Amino acid sequence: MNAHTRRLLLGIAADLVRSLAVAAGIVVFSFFVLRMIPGDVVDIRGIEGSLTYSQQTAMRAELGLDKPWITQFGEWLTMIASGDLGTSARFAKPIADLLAAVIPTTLTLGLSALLIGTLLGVLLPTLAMLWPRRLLVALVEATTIWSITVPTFSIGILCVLVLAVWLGLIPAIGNLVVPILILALDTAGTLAKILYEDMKDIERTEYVRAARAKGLSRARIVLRHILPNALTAAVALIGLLLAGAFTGAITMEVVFGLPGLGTLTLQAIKGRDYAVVQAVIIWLGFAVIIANLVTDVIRKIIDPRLRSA
Amino acid sequence: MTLATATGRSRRIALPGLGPLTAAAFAIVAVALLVALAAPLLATHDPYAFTADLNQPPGEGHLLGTDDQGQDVYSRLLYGTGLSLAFGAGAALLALAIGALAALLALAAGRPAEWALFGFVDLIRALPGILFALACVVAFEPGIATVVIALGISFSPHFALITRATYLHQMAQPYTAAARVLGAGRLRIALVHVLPNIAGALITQFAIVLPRCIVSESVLSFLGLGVSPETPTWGRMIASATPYLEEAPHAVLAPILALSLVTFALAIVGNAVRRRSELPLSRDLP
Amino acid sequence: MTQRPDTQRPDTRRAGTPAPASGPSPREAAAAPLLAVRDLRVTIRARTGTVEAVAGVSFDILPGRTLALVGESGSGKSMTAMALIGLVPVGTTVETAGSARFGGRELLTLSEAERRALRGRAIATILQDPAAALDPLMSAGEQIAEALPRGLGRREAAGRVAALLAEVGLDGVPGIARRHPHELSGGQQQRVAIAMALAGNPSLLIADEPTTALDVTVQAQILDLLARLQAARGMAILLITHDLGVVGAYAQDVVVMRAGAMVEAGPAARVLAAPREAHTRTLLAARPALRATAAPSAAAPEILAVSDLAVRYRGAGLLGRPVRALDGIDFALEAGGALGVVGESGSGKSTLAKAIVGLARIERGSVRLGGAVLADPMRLGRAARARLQYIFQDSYGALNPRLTVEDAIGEPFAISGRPRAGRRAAVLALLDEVGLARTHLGRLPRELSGGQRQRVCIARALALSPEVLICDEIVSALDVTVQAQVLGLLRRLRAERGLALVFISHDLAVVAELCTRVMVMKDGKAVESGAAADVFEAPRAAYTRDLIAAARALDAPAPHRDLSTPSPAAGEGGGVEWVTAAGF
Repeated sequence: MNAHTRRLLLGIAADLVRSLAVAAGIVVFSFFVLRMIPGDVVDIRGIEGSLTYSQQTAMRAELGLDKPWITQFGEWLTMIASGDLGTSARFAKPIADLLAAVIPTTLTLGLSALLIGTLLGVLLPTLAMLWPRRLLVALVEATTIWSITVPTFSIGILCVLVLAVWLGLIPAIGNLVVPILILALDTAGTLAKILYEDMKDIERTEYVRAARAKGLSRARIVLRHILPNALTAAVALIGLLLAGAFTGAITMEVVFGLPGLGTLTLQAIKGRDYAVVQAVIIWLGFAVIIANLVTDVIRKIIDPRLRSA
Repeated sequence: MTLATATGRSRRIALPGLGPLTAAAFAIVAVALLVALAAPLLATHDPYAFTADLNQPPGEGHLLGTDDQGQDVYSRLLYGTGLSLAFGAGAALLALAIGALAALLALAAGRPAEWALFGFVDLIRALPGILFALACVVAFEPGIATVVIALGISFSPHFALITRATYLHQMAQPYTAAARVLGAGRLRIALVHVLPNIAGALITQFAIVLPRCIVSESVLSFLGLGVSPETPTWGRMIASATPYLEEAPHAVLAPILALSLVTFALAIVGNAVRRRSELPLSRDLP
Repeated sequence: MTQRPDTQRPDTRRAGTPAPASGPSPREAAAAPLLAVRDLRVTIRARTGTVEAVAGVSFDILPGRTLALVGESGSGKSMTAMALIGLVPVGTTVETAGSARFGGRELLTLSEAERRALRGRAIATILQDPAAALDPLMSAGEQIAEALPRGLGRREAAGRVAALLAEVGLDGVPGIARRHPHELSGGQQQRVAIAMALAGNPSLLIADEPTTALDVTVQAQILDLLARLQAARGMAILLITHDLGVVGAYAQDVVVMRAGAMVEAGPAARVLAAPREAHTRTLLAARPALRATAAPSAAAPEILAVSDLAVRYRGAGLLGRPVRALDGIDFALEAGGALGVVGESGSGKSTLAKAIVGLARIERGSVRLGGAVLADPMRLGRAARARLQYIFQDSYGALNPRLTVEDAIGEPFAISGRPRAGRRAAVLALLDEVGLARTHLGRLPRELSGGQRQRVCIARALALSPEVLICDEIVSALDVTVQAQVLGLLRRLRAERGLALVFISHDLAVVAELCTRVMVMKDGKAVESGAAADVFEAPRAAYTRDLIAAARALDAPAPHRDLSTPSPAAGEGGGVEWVTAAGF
């Protein structure tokens, strides 16, 4: 048993090292890719006409944009390492404040969608396995086809048109429930598709045949044998579902006029506000990395075979 | 002895097995391709011409009305079909070329190359989907080439991962070891033996990625980071008409319905392709 | 230990019917049959049409006795049993006709719910591959508890599980109930599966090739365990097997099947001693006897030798300890000779073969080919490769699924750059040599039978005109009759080409028939080696004697053995096997 725990810890340590390496990669990437952008925040404000040439030069010097990029990178790393996210040049506010203002909306949107979507995505295929009747199977298939084929942003626009403009049921700006449902359905479809296919495959395994040979009920076979085995594989998807939910949240925020991370990012990108874009990329990247790390660890704990790997 | 052998080797004949849904999907794709090619013949107006008739409802003169610039929605929709399909297909092909080729070469070259490449793949995957494309589009001049390249890179992990998974699976098969015993080199094994055996998986993945590339292009355009405003891709049309949702819902509805219909049909066709090839999907990429 | 607390069982069980050594034919038996199958027909409906998998099978199983359903792959023996209890694979639709009365109840017309009530209680099943038949996420104890009758208290259930584990000889394994399947050896897994089957107190046990996936010594232990459980509990056993050898030792009655039809049925002793049908005789004749037939030639020069060969595999995981798979192996093989390497799974015999041809990295030691030391088998030049060829066990996997027979056999020519024009004649000559016809040229591997595929692999290896052919379990996946044909081909090639063989096998009888020398391996070391006749007739090592005893016990087309004395290899309650495997 002790050897198991040691192997488990070793495996987790290896995952941790890999995650840290990817996190470091993200930090470096986010800095350099955005430095490749022609034109900086000062240029944009120059174009907008809000700054004179001398003001621009002064602002560059103040922001350190005139220094060689390697120096900028060093300074920026020190700053990031101390937990300071920097200041938005465009909004002239600390990025931490900007993020703090928008993150609750995005978090509510993304996490609620993930939660509802995961519940639905597990429930639907499980029900379809328990009662393999036409209706339930068709429901699973409809959800999966829906999520593969119908872009969430176009559904979002349709909902705004029908529910807000035509029927007046929801406000055209600021509604949170409809985008959550749209994203949840998307997540549910993605998950349900994979889970249902896995469950169908597992239904054909010898150990399920052995369970049938034991005379177990359909419910017990599905809930105690098929579902746990399918879930151990599907847990690996959580990181990707999270990434998908946040991506979806970006467009949903724009469609439903919500002041979230997506709206902020978009404004920052259009305004060449590097520091904000960097912060968003880094924090979203970290969120995905952490989600992946957690799912890897969960898989190692629930699947006895992976503990030794 | 397994039951499969006990029942006699029933050879599966690959019947097309077209359900009504799949048949309809194939028909939609065919029509879309035809429209894309014949757009100049079918269009009633110059898709780029501005008129004074802003936000006209569908009716005489303009089959699907006009948008906020007074451009003919019907004609733009027709031209947009070809553009949207071409951008999507271009991005998906680029992703296939980058992902599969890099992965195959790195795998054949050995451990260090493999680690380097898949470290990079992990990095791309850690950035939530469209964020990477967003960063790319911002980093380079916005435009058609940038959008295609950005989408190509951000979707390449799908192909790199399926290539690695299937490559490793094939390399674990005795036939690759048998080729080594007969004296075949790494490159011969990778290209002559492995590649034909993973081609099916790559084609299947392509069928899945293609509609998603089309959607992603429209999302980028919708967010204002895609192609230039006058280019009539569906995403661009949706983006420019959305502010006038109240005045001219038709200008939004037409491209949204076209987009949904074509991606839906492509996804169904992709599913049919996958069923025929009977290959597993890449597990970790929904 | 063998408590039988169940009382609410229907009157289907005849407890403790003594098993006569050689009873009368079931039809004339005085006792009422537990299961009476009459003219059973099973039709499989697929999208592509219907296949009649079982075409008119009739038999009786008496309480407390064993009936063996014997046949080669595709004979319909599994389908016969599985159709009775509704355990056909998910996704296949079968139609049954005829009648199957179990304790007076007609099985074929039962609803799925009624069948389910029978499964695991009155009729239990053991599947072939224990590693696949256990849920990887559930502990052994939980999986057994699941099969117990409903409504037991937690403590009572735990007690029953412990009793069942003791009954199958696993009570000595520490923490067995909490272990997961991957922490058990193959034999232990099958014992857990048997305990699962016993949990419902069955009166009929269907054992579908219960030992095919296991090593010989473990096979004997499992079959002895089944025989002892049968004697103690009085259950009837329907034993499905491809191995007529097992039938003699463990079954009273036998039904021989071929292509879905019944070929011959009767008491095992009669069928084995005086088979009436040609197919039964073919099956019996195809099994080689465990008797050395050839001696090494002293005059021939050495062609292949290894000295002090060692191989280490990287351990699992990042910091896993390396595993020594091979340690200090020496042998020398004369030109035209045949060395049989025998051992059970994990003995390192396949690693030895792979190391010689450069598919596994050598840690220490050397390989000599024709007197010259090979610097590194992993980087062999083409000339040396040509002299030393290797054939895989899995003939399906060893052929690229996308290459036709012609391209597969022509691959060595393509690699050496021989022009395409001259290839076909050479391929045709090779096809002829291995007994395939021109019509096979354009076929893909999946369009060939197992035996044909193995012939293609042999032809491909012969294309380079090797002097040594290394055969890694190449006949173990084949039916006995096909196995006999491939062995005949190898014998002919040795005679005609002067080919030397390194023949890796778990099957002592096959090795005895083919080889001049034998090396017995265990845990990566050679336990014993020498001339075949010496090793088989006068084994020196205890392990060799165990192997030979187990092989003889499993191959006794003789009357039924006395169940009370376990076979020599079985040890005490299966204690032998887990001691070596309990390395967790």
